[in-house]
Amino acid sequence: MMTKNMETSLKYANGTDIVVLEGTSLDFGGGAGVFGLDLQLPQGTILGLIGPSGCGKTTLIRQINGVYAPTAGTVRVFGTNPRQFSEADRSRIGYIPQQFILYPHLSVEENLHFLGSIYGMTRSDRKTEIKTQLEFVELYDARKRLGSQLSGGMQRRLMLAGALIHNPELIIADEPTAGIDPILRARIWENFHTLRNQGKTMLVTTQYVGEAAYCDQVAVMRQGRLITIDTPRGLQRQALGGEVIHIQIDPKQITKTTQYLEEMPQVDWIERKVSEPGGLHIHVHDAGKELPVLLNRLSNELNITPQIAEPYLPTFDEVFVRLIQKDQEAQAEKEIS
Amino acid sequence: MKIFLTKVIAFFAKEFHEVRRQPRLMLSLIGGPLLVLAAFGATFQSSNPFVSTVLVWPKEGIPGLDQDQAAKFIGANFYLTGVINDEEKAMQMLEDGEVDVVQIVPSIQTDQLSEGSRPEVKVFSRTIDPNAEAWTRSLAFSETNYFNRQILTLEAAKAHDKAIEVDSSLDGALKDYGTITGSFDNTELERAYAITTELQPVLQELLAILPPESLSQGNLAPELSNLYNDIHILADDLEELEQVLKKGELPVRQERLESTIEEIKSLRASIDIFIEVPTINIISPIRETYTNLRGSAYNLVIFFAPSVLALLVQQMAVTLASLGLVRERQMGSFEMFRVAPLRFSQLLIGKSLAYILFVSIAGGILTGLLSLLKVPLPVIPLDFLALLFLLALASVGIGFLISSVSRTDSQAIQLTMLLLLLSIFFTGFFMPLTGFTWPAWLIAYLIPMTHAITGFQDVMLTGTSVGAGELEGLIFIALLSYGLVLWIMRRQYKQVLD
Repeated sequence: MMTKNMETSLKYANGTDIVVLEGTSLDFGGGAGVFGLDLQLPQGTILGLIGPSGCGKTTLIRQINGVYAPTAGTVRVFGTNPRQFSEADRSRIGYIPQQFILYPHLSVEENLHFLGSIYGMTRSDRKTEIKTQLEFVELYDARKRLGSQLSGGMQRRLMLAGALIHNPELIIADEPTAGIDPILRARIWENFHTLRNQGKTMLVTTQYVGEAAYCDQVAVMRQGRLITIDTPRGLQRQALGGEVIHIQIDPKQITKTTQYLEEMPQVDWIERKVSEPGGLHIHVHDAGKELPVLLNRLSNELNITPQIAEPYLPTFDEVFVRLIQKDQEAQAEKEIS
Repeated sequence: MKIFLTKVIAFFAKEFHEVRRQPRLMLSLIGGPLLVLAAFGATFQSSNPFVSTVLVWPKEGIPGLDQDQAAKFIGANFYLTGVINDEEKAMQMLEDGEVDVVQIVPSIQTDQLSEGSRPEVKVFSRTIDPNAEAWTRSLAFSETNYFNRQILTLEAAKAHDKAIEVDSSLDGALKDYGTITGSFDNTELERAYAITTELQPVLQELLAILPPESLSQGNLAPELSNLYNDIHILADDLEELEQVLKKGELPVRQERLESTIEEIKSLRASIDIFIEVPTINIISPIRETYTNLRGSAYNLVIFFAPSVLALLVQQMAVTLASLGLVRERQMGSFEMFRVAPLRFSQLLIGKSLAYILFVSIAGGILTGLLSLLKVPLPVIPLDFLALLFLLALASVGIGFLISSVSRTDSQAIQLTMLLLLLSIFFTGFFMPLTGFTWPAWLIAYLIPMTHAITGFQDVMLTGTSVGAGELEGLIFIALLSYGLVLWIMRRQYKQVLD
């Protein structure tokens, strides 16, 4: 027999977006707020919201969970305006707020019983789910510990278990990895991938730019605006203006090599690496396809064999910085014009 | 309904576990106040202000007043540092702060009083305490009455002696008048004239020494009143007799003489009665008797115990509830609650039930512990439980109201302290409400403790059931406060959403 949740999952698996924002704004005045957001979140994906502190990530989340109403545009979650959510609609969302808001004088188990109860779960359902979720976040052995006796990482995992206790379809996590060590962050992202693979949809904000790699889609925010939404790979391409082949040759041959490569039609432009003598970043459309061609030509026609030749994958820190710079430049141009 | 209750119970269980996990909180909330009350009972001596005094007594003394007795009387209520004769020295002691009050008793002579002068007992103080001032003035009034009574007692005793002497003179005059045949020849005329004129000053002497005529006013001392009356009549008769003896007709002389003899007899009868009546009845004809139909009043510790119980239960409930919402708001839990399928009323009911249960248990334990201080246990347990429940309910409502308008813990605690202050002044805890004008009553009736004090005194001390007014008052406060909390919180939610 199919449960309601399973039916819903199937429905959204057929291509329906769970969250849709169209021209959404919420102006707090003085430049604060979010402005003209367009966003779709398909079922079964992890959308990462990345941006500096104060860029509007939490405001966006609060519009999606119905705490804030937009001043312009529309927000639809499960096809419904969040402000008109029924209790059943609310039960389909699991929310992990930014700070630890569970109770220090309650044990891990009692905290989860409390959360399950406010979602109307029966005691037996709660007991089953508590065991499942505590095992999932590897806190089962700590179930009798008080909230005040948990480390920061354990508290975040308890929050995750609390958001999952009622088996929601959409999980909204506001900076779930803030302030915890990289190993634990990786484990939390493993948990998120497991949930995504179970068909759950996730909206996760983070300040750690590197975590973009864990997401299916990444939305970059700055000053209340969405700069771009893309896959992690797409973001790298956007940041670099295409793909890049990194080669290192004898510095004496660099001028000749650069002149030769600039003549090739598939090369967009070339960047000399000042910090790396003999290093070149060659911008092409498709690095995987052009790398062997380029190596052949250099070897056959210039008799040069690079010491290093590989597709260049920038770090997400670099991607983020480049995207922000591009946006700043675009904004400046816009203001001048 | 089942889901509604599950959510309500979620908050009930959460609050219950949180409080249960803080045994020190329980201990300080119950044990602390009990220790305070025990310390009060063990050390309390008097609620009267402590006022030290020095008495300045005239060197020559005061007729009818014994210095030692006066000092003993004053020392019963003041802390008497000494009795001296030097007025300046006493005033310097007051100036130097060695004493709080100086009492100067003037030199008083009987003839001064007869001449109509009113000597003053002068009382000086430098206090800033209105209670001490009222207490000093009241005691000064009482002391002056004491001095007056002592002096009057002496004078009344002298009047008794004089009355006996006058009675003897009247007896002699009667006998002398009896020797007059009625012919009123020159010899008889001279004798009658001599008797009459000798008797007149005797009457004036008696009038001079009798206790003031004002004491007989209002028929409080009829013996004295009759005596004054008869003396005045006889004095008038003697005057008329004197006149007719000088130039009256024989029958008129005879008639006046007979009338005078009758008046002398009447006066003697009044004097006999006056002599028989104890002097205290003449100068202080009314005395008081006091009967407490319950036997006696309770001591102060027991009397205040129900009020302290009401105060503790109220403040415990208000403190818990005032932090109950504000902490959730500060933690950020409200955001999670708003995202969850939860109504604010479910949160409010769940938390209220937990706090009411906890506070009622604590109140019950406290009542049991109070019996160790010999405070009577409630005679009607059901009434007591109903009152305790409604007090907890109304106080939790007030606490939530404080919480709903507070942004931080410290704001909530400040408002709770303000309520404590209001409760001490405006609930009849120390000062009776009848001492205030109606605006204060309005405040008083909106404080749960006002109703609870009367109710707890009824069921614990008086042994009667709790009045309907007290229960209705608490129900009204509960309805009002919960209504306001719902209104305020919904507005706050709406503001966020809009």
